[in-house]
Amino acid sequence: MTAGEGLSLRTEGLTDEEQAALQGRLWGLLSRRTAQYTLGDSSSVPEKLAGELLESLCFTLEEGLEAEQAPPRRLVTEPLDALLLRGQDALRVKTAETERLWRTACLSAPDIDNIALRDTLRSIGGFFRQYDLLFLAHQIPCDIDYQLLCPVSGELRGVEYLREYLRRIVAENALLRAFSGERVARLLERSCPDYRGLLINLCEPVLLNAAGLALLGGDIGALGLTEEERHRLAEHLAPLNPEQGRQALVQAARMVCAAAGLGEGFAADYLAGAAAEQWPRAAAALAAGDLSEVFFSLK
Amino acid sequence: MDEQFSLELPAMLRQAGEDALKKCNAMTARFGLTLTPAEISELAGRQLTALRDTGRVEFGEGVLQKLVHAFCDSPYFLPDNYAETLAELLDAFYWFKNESEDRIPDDELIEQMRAVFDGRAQGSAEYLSGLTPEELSRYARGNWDPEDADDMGDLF
Repeated sequence: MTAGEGLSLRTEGLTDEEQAALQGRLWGLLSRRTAQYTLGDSSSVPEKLAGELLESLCFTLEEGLEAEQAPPRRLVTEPLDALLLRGQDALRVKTAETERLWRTACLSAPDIDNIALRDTLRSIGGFFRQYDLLFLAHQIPCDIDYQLLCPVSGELRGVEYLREYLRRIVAENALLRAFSGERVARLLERSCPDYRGLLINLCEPVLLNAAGLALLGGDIGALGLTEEERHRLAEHLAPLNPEQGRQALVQAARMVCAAAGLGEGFAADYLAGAAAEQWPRAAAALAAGDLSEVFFSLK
Repeated sequence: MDEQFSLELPAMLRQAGEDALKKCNAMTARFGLTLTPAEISELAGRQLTALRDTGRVEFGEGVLQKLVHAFCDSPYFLPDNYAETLAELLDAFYWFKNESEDRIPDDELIEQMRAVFDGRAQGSAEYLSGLTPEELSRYARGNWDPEDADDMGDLF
């Protein structure tokens, strides 16, 4: 019976004795929750299911601690059932917030026919019916195919993961909608002719092109770069070392966000960080002497 | 610091299971059945092996006591083979749980096992173990007549 190996719960500051006590408390809680899950029909369950139930418990207990900004010592000083209930309450609040984010993401989705984005948003709608907050809170019962500019950390679980995914989608949507739909479509056509069917990120070429124009002090809304602008951009970027290059892209992305009316909140931070991640591509293109596959023209 | 948690049965609960099994002796003694401390310890070890082999995790008092309670008045339970038959039934129990994908509740499964054990299987835990959950349910529901054993395609 080793399915539980690899599961973890933050236990900073607990002594070995307290950790051993916690193991016993967790076993007791898992035992009670399993009985509830099986409606008392079965005293044993497959190891895989027990592992899932335990992972859900750990995740929810962490939520309970986080909701009260409580230290891990609470895990051994108060009834785990009470902490679990508080964790479930916190998850209910987050689930409601996430559902609102999903509605915003749907309503703000760009008018671009991309199968992955459409299917992903549709599938996330089912999450709110399928999510088992009581027993399998760490799971994400929906299909997420659409690729973000920057992927969400795999360490996030359950509704935490989905909330972060949707925050990023909403930020990307806001950027896409700040530009002319016709120009965005032309840019996507240039960067990936099958942008409707392939699993690509729609925001990436838009962000990079706009950032390139911002670096040149050009018209960000134009979205496309001319040959002459690419040449000037190469001259601008070529002397920069990686750190300077990343910083240049961050600053440019912030200018783009300001121009797009995204302010200085999460969206601007996220998009600026995503722009910095594009520096290796730009550097490789600079080394090859051809920026045309990173900063596109619309013709 | 992250502490790893496992699904290993805590030693304290393992001991509690053995203690509960000892208490069963008081009830089974009237049927001439008792388990020695060595047999109890062996059965507890066998249970852990069975759980590991079938990839299951058990909570609460465990199913061994339920099996004792359900089978102790079976005419096929004899003092000589009591512990060994219990062990075989235990293996069969977890096997049926897995094969039925947990669709049969514990109590119902034990009831079916007892019905077939006393009937068609004529006390053979080995025969019981060779059945599928569907066969077990079907045989438990049907009336078994030892006089018609040949017609029913029995091994006996």
